[in-house]
Amino acid sequence: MKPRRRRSFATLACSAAAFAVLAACPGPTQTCCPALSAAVGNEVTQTFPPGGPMQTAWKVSFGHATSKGLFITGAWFQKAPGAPWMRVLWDARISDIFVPYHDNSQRYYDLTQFQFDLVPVSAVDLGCCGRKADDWVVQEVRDRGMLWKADQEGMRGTELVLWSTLGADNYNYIIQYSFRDDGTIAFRFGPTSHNLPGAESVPHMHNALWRVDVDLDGFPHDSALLHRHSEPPGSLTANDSVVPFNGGVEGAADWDPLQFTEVEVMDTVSKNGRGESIAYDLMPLREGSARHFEDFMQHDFWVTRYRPTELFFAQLPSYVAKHEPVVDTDVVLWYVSSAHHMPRREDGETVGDAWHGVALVMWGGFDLRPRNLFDRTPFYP
Amino acid sequence: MARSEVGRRGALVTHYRYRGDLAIITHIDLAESRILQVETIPHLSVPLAEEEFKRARQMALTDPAVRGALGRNLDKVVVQALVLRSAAAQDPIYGHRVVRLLFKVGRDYLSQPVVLVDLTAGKVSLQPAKPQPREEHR
Repeated sequence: MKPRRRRSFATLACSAAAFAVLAACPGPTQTCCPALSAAVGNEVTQTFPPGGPMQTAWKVSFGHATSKGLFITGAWFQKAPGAPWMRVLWDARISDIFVPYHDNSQRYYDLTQFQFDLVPVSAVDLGCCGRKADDWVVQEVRDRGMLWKADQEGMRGTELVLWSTLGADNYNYIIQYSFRDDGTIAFRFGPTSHNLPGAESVPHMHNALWRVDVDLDGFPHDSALLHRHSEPPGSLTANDSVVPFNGGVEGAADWDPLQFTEVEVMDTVSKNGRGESIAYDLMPLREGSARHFEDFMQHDFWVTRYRPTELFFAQLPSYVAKHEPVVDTDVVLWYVSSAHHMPRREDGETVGDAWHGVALVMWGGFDLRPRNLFDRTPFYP
Repeated sequence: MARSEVGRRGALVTHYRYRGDLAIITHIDLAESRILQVETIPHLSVPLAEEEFKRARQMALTDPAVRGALGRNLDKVVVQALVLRSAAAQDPIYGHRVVRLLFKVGRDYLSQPVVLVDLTAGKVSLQPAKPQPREEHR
């Protein structure tokens, strides 16, 4: 009887969601689900707005493997009808998930230490409008709210979302990549499921260790830059600076909430129609910075020159020791996003011999947002 | 190494040597069938092999203390494994291959027993219980 009751609840939730979206649709005959392109093999092409005259488009290839989770093996953006596809990503992935417990009772590496696989897609994953890109990957086009507003004018934004669930014994990790109509890519990581048996109340940190191989308009001629904001004490003015990352060579940088620290990848050759260099900004979305014992956890951003055999986040201190230039070359960004989990009663309770309950999803990650990719705002007629 | 706009398929082969807690990582170019690089890295986390998991489970489930602690759940549990690592060189398990076993009954996990299997030393041990949220949360 239990499975049937859960299925009924899922149907009810789906109907309620559909009704809510339908109510916002302009006509009663319009479907609430945006037009979704079918995945061909491991590649998805999605035009925006979905179902309307194309303004922009993404072409994305993805992969997944044991001990690797879901990863992106290429992403190309088309910024206008008839414009050429421009490569943005060569490869992007979570290279590892590092989970140290505050009492030092456990220090898990949830990708490199195990042979964890993705969880097969279930009906609840698909919701009303999703489809299987394959048996382990969900493909959705989501309404993401207002793209812009100007009094009573406005436009809603949409995004192509590819996501999967990594089954890590008692824990699950949602790995999600969103490719937005405005050229932004949102990288998200969501820990959830059962707290560690026997240590259900021990606080811990889920660190997603990202490796993002940005190849703007192809792999050569990319430079890494660091953005910093400053407001000197007692001053009524503020300053922003953009400087070569780590003086222009491989290394690391820290996120400072007072400096709004970001890392930019700029192509030194490709320009927009106004002659400005095209770029993407790595924009952190974070609550804090984890600093664990390990050397690779002493910084938030790292930049290396592309070398095909450098894949392990824990080896970053040795990778950057080469101090090779990260200007006008082929660069890789590495970034830590942390979810600080202080267990709470909402996570569950002890029932008999067992822990009964699940920790709700905690989201972390970052955005890659275009800078001077377009000649003007593309969505304001 | 320069690359083209066309991706090349590669493979990463991982070996683990218990002596010295050593990871041996081999990068292979599948298109040219050649080894690009072999790295030997001490104390790098590498995946738990199925054979290691089976050995840890067998050691634990034949241990009288573990069998006693599982009690009436012994025949019902699904066993899963986590790998435990220490970052501190002075820790007794530093450099050892240690597996923490989880016991699942239905869709929930048993809070106890907490069983560690040190595959390097060939030992099974039970850990004391941690305080539950009721005691810690105010």
